[in-house]
Amino acid sequence: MTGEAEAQPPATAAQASIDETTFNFDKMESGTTQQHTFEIKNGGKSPLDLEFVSHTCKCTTVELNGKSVEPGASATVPPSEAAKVLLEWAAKVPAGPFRHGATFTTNDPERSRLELTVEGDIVESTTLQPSLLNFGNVNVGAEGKAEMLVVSFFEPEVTIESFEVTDAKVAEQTEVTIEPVEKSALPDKALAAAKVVATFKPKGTIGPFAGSLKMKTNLKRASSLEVPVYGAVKGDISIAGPGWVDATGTLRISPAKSADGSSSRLNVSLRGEHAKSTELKVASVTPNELKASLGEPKVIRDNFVQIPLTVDIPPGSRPIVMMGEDQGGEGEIVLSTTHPQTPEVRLKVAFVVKP
Amino acid sequence: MRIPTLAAIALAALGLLAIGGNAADPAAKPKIDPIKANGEIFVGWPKPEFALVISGELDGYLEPCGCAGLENQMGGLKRRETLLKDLKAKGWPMVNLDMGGLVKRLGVQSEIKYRYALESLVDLGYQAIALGGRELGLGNIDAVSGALMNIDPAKNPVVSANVGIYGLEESVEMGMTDRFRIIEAGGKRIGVTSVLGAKDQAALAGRGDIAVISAAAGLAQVAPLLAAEKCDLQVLMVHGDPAEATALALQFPQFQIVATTGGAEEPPKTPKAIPGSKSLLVEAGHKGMYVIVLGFYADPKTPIRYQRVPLDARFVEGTAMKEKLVAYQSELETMTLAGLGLKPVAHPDGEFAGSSACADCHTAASEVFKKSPHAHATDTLVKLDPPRHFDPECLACHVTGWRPEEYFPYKSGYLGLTETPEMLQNGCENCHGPAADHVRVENGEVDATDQEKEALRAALRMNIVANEGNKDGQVFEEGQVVKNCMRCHDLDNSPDFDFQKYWPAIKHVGKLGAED
Repeated sequence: MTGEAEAQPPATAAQASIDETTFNFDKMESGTTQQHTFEIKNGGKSPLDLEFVSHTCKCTTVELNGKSVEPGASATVPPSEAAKVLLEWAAKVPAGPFRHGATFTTNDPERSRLELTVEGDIVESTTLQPSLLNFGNVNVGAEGKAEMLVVSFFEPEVTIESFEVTDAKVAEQTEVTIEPVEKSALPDKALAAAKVVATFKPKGTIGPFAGSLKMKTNLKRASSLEVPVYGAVKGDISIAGPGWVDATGTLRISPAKSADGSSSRLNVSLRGEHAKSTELKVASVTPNELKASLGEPKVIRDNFVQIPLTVDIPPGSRPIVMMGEDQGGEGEIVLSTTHPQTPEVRLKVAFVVKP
Repeated sequence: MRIPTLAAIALAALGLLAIGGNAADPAAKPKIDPIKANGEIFVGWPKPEFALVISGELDGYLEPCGCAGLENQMGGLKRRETLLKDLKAKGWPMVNLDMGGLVKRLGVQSEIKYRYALESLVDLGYQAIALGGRELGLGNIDAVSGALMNIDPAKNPVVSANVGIYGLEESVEMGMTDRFRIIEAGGKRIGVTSVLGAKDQAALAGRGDIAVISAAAGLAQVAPLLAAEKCDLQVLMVHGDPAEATALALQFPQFQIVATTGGAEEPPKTPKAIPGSKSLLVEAGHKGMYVIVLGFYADPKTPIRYQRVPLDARFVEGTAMKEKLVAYQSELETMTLAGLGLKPVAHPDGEFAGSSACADCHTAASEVFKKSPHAHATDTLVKLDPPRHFDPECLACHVTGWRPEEYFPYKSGYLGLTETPEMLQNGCENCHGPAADHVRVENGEVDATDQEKEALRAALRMNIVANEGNKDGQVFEEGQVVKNCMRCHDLDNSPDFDFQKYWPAIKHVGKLGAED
């Protein structure tokens, strides 16, 4: 297999020789800065011209022979002498693997490019794994659960001294407990951790919810933490798909030309004990420019069925604007259902047919 | 997605200044030759029997990463389209694979973006795409399933050995995913599967709408099925990290190519041979800035060639992905900010008044502001092709009264060109804080004591501490001014930002002579 560069310089020309093109710094803490010097020797008989052409990140700065340089800077190395290239990199990026560097061009015919790289891992003193409490979809009548670890890599103990869910509505539906984490269950290289377990119990409101969990800890470097809390409560009947705005129950269709028309496909999800037995019908559609049709139900599980709902504006429809209250109102699709608690589902449709 | 913003505007301003003879503009820099900077590609490559194109962790960057001027940015699906077209035009049999991680954030805009990114890769001819942790972590899994089910089943490339939407079997039965895929290219059969790694699985703990088994358990089920397909090459995509991918490669040695996410932003110059195996470990970096191309040859001396392809300005913009981007921006417009779930929240320090209210008294400072790039930040979005002034990820740093890092409006902040015309541009209050109370008091609309008046003034005053700046040897932590600048002038969007160089260009003093 071949890589990007191989070198075997002839003896009469300038010869760029370097012991290493990659320096591995192993681990460094986020927010700190490190340096490494690469030495580029001229093993040839002619002067070696070096030009600094690029660096991969502004978080990595370059000094050439002791002077801070920008791309375009150059230096000439006499035979048997060496240039010193110092790379300095700041760990001002998220924790994780780090690799950046600088590229030089040379007049060595066999090694016209030298890519100098520094790599390693940036580590935080404290990490949240994962970084948020995401409940996903929570069905009405059921509970959602989300967990996270507060992990310390520098301090021997993690204690959550107090916590508070900020949004009042989210708070009244959320229970939080803190559990200890056994040494054997700690993430790699971690010294200590605490487990945050959150349970969401929906109390009526359907739709997305968001808040945050504020925590006070014993950690010197992370005494106060705030993590997003996120999810959506779904009723037994819910709708999703391109253009669907759950919060307002509106399908927003991009403006369509009369000659082209348009077609939008949504999915109606039926969840819960009545999922399989519930039947849907298109009861009414207004105005006439809109057409709605239901497809074949797909039984995903006994308590979960999806039915495609297609909303068409047929080609040739008359130009019309129905984009909301002050712009011609909205269209409406009414679905009748056999669900015992939800006999009807109304969808608003905001759309424009252009001439 | 970010687009050319403050730094780009600064460059535009630089052009004007340079014409006027001011060579000392802080943002001045030479034009970059992408081939000189990032090197030539495919040097000495004969036509391969087939080639794998491997990408991953697009992280929502449908367009090039950052706002530092398009010629300096890397990535973007428009450039990827051109690369793939170029290779296809050369007659190379292509196998396009993506390791997932198409989006990074949460919310309705990310749900829409996931659908566009997925459809874009399908349009680009991708034959296998893994499910990443971030897309699975989108709160509304119905949006993910909707995106998957809207793809023509005959073209759906999404693959996972250990994850299913709603259920492992259900996901396959409904045509959303497959456990593995067999791809034919150049007369060869290439078997591909993917797994979600342990760290991303942990983030899905408790989720009842996603079925996950461990990567090893998933591969234990799929590997024998793949082996029975008598493939010429087997590829494993690990949406995890290099250490986990390495362990899986050793446990399942049938995969000659193991591609992994979770590496550094910049992929390595060469693939890594995994010690103790015959497998190669391949990373593709983040934000879609690079793709990796592996060429396969009958030549026993050089059976595989590797190229890290920087998606820089050498690649012209592809038209199909441009159309896709136009449609994406159009959908954001159709959805409206409210439809994207962006409900204005109260700013802790009050309401915004708009820069014209500031200009009534702070005339000298206002004159400086008007000549700065900040004063036409929104106009820049409107003039772009396609315009981006419906895109919250762009608006956040281009209007007044938004929270830059989290892309949402504050109450009384910008809502639209016509709805809130006084909140256009990156106005005074984005740095100084909301000033409506101060304006009301100074205009005599509200009674206040002298002490209260002064307190409101003081709250808006900014003090640059001695040697405050964002470079080494300068004072950063103790100051507040530079931290505020860097909410927009970050490494992605303003990599050259140097407060001490930029500040003189917008230096302004307030009514009382202080730098407020």
